[in-house]
Amino acid sequence: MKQSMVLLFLVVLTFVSSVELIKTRHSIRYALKELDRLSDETMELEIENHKLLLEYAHLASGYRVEDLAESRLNMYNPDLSEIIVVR
Amino acid sequence: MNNIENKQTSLNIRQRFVVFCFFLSSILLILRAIDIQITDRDFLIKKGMQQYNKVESIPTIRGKVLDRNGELLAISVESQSIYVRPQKFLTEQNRWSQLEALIGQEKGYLKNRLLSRPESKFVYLQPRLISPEVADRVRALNFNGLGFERQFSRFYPHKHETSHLLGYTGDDHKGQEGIELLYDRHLSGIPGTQKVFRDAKKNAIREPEIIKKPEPGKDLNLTIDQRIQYFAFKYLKEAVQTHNADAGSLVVVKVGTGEVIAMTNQPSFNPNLRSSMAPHRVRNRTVTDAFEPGSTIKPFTAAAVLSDGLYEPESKVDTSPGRFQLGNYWVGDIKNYGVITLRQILEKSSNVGAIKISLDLGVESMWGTLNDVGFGNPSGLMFPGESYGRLKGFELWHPTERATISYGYGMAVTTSQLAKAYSVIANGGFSIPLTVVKRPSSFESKNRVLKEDVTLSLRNMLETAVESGTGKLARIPGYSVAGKTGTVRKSAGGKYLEDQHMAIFAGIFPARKPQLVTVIVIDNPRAGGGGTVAAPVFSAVMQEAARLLNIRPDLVPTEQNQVNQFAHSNQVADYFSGQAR
Repeated sequence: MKQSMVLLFLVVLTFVSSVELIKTRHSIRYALKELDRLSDETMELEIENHKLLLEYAHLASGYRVEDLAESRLNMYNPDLSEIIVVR
Repeated sequence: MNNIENKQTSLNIRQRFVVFCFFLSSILLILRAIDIQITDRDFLIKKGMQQYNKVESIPTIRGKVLDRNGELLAISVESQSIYVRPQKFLTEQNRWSQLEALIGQEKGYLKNRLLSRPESKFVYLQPRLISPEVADRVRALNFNGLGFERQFSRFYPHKHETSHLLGYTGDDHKGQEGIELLYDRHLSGIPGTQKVFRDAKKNAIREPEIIKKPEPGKDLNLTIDQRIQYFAFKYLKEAVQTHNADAGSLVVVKVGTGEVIAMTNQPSFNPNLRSSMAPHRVRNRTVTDAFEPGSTIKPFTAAAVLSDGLYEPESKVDTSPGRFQLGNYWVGDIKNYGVITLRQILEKSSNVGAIKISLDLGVESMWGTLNDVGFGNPSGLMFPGESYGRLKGFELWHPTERATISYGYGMAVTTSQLAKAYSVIANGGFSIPLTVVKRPSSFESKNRVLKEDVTLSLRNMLETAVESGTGKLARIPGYSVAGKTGTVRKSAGGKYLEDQHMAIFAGIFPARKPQLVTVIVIDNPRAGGGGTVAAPVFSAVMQEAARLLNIRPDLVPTEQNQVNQFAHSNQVADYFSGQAR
């Protein structure tokens, strides 16, 4: 009787362990899939960031700023007679 | 009864047959299992592994190039390459014109492209790199046999302004010129490799095994100040256009560190546009082109005689009759200056004066000074194709060469070398290699090549040369400026050309507390020399630099220098007509 109980216990333990193994493997696969997705997303965001940095640099370029300052805001380099040096 | 017996016998036979069949099947399965497990084991394991694991590259993105203030100079952004598999793609022949229009190719391009590669199973379409937006529009056409590959292309937001300095990358995203080539390893990093395990749906089923760890591309911080680089480019371009010159180059160096603040050339090219890359536009002339420095070398002749204690700034030299015979030809000044001081030799840029003082020097001493300040040696930049100029060993000097070299003929220098040499005068006598990448703050040069009092005298004399000599147009209201002009005949086929010359200006700003050294070289202006063509560029660029770097005016305004400054201001404004309102 005692032997049978031990055997039954081991069978149940083996069953539970195999179910846990399957569950763990599944969660690993799920986590790896998520990792893949997040890696791709990181790459996409980095690429998007590079695109925005490029756009920003283009919009802030000296030529464009000077052109806008002169044409839209009517700015100009002051003449020496217009400068008062404060010491 | 007999009937029942017969039925029983038949059932027994069928039972045995079924049992036999099961037995046979079991035997066959066991044999097959043995076959699979023992005979074909290795082959099948290999096959299985091939199906679910794969070696993939781990890509790295090329690092950015930034200026000294973190402003973006070069960056990699996503592009797409389009390829076709000709067999399938041929079925779409009636719609090819739509694709040709989208990728900017002429009608008939696809036919020619595929006909020229009849055996290929895979053909890339040109342009090799297209923007993701165009790729999306192509994708929407839904062609058979058309595929896309993600690539990266390099973009330079400041286009022509920084092109020579930064260089560019090829289709393979590897550096081809300039900083991109010089720091290719640093910027590109090394892609890694990994073994990935995926199921039929391409989902990962095991953690990937890293075979080679990737080394990500690193960002590179340059010493360039993009704002000053912009103005340097702008004013140099205007000067080259105004004077209908062939080319021009300009270098700005920070005193005390050897850091290059700006480096630009004319003509230039747009590194984002391959069609603009003609060889004469791509060359970084500040490091590749060596030229005879002419009168800009005279301060170093003066440095040699001052160092040897042979002369003082006010020592007298007789330049009469204003010309000097060297072998079979005569070298002259604009007029006979008579007896003048060493200071006036630089102020008036007297060739005869330079020759006379050089004759009191030993050749070894003169060569030593020129060699020590960097002529004939690497500037430290190590750019691709960099020239070291030409300064022969003094043992090889022809008897007349000491005289010709004293006023800048018979040797060759690059714009960068000249800037490095003037930096020695500006920083109190230390030779500091030039650099375009930031140095650690602890960097300190110990290589003294000129005495401090000699450099002080030189700066003082060069200030006179700007204030009342040939370099008047380099003056900047409110600031002291030291500098020297140079106007040099060009040579070709072993003789000097009557109708072609170079205009040069090398200056130190401010003269009394130097912060920047700038050299401008204008190649073959139709009229005018260093004082009228190159010096105004110095004035214009340094005025912007003074504002941007917050350099305090160091001259106390007096009535006289205010009058001078107004006159000067109007002259420079006239020169840069585009800049004047």
